Amino acid sequence: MTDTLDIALPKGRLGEKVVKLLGEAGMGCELGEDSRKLVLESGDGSLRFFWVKPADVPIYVERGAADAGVAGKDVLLELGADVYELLDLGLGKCRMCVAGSPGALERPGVLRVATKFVNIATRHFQSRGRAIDIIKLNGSIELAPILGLSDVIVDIVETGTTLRENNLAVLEEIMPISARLIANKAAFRFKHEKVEALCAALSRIL
Amino acid sequence: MDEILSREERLVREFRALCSRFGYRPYRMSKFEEYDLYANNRGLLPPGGVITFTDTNGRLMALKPDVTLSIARNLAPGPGGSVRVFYDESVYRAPDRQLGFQEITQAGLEYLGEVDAYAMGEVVFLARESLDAIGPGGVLDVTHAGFINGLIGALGVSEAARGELLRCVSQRNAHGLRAACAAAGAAGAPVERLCRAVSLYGPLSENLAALAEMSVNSETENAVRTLTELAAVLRGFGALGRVNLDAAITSDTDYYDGLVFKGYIPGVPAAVLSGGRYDRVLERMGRGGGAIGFALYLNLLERLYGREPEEFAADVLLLSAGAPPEALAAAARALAAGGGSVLVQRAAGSARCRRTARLNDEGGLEYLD
Repeated sequence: MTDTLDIALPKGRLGEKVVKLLGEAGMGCELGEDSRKLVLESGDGSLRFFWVKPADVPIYVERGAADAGVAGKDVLLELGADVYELLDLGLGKCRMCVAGSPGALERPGVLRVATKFVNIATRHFQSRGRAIDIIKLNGSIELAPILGLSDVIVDIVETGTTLRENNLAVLEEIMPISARLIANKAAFRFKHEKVEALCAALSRIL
Repeated sequence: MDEILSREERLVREFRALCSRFGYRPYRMSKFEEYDLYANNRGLLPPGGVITFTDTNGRLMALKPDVTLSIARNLAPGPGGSVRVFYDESVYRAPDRQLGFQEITQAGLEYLGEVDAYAMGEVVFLARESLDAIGPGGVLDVTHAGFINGLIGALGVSEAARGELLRCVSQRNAHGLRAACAAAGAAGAPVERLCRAVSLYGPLSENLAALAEMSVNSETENAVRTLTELAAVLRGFGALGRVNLDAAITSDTDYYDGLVFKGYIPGVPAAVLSGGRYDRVLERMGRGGGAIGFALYLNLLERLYGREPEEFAADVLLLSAGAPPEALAAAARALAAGGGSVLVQRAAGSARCRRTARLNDEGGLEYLD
């Protein structure tokens, strides 16, 4: 085990916002948008960052390949990763919603739900005692109710523009979503001071 | 003889010796148990299902998913006495549904009887020593489940909201706690106190005062008193400086209801040791008395150990081609009796031995290297 704090960052827009935030907190390094390096170190060598697919961040952290990371609340809930959730970074704010044509939820019988977030959707409808048929999709979720594949969808809604353009509407809000700073449970202990310093630095600017 | 033991076996031997020095006796058990035990105590089982089968006499049996329940059912101390046992056993469950059932090897100890401050301290001390047996740099964290329960009780939230609050506690998720408290109608100083408690982490001796300062009711006071007594016993064992306070430890099951502790080792990303008081288990079985114990998850240490170094098959490879069997037997017997090991076969093949020999015309050994 090294003294360096390994931090997994999500590739893409959210990752870029996180890098900016880390820079503002005085804990960043040269992680240019065009950087093709997968692993980068801070100037003093105390932090090491690496880019991974957003949905994989909790796995890297839970399994100890990274000591800490930044992941969306949607991914954390879907995977149920056994990690510490130390800070709400307030980045990438959006909502996990049930969407569909107006009145779709009132449809009698088993509700057909298309989603990428199978666990979140199942838990949500179970808590309401509603019988559902889950249809797991990997993209273009909005297409499912339009083509009659599902009655509703469970998906992330940022502005709602895509829904409106397809004559769909938010029917229920399940929960607000944003990026969270997470830490591995063992790393929290063995690199306690570094994890606390990272939290403190980020807390100061949030 | 040490070289014929795997690292796991050496650790188990050290663990057995450690427990024996404090009056714990080995306990062997069958791999099977009547399924009723687990069907009636589902809330006490770790997640992962149970493998069942019908025995030849028609009884529904289970491969043990857990050791402690069996010990709690089968052993009881006499009046004023205690039962102190240790074990190393395999249990069978599926912690990850996608991977299916797995054999999980664990070693542990159980103390049944009146759990006074000394007994508690002794078990925590043995947990600490067990971590040291694995390797340097391990961390043992303790708390008392009553402290967080007391703080949540002081919020006055519904039973339904407690589950979400405990989930946030186990994730050290202060922002989630504030949101869950707000949704449950709690706000102000009691919420902030709970958030402060969740962030409390550090040496037990240095953090007891902070914990006492946050105490709000008889449940939290009892928790602080118990941890203070524990600290005193650990000081006597010379182990107080090697135990941390972590108020955010929660149990995955209904098992542990008082003192709870977890152990970590550098290089392993999850807790390798888990333990605590489980008086509630005995209560559920219609018995009184106290109980405390811990388990060391040996299967998690595989990654830490890496590959075992390649061993020699024997000290001497004795080539048998063309030699009279009687002379071979005499030579092999002499080598083994001399404290070494011998492998007799026609040709070297892929066998790795320290030395290679054959019999000369007089029946004596002739080393070829």
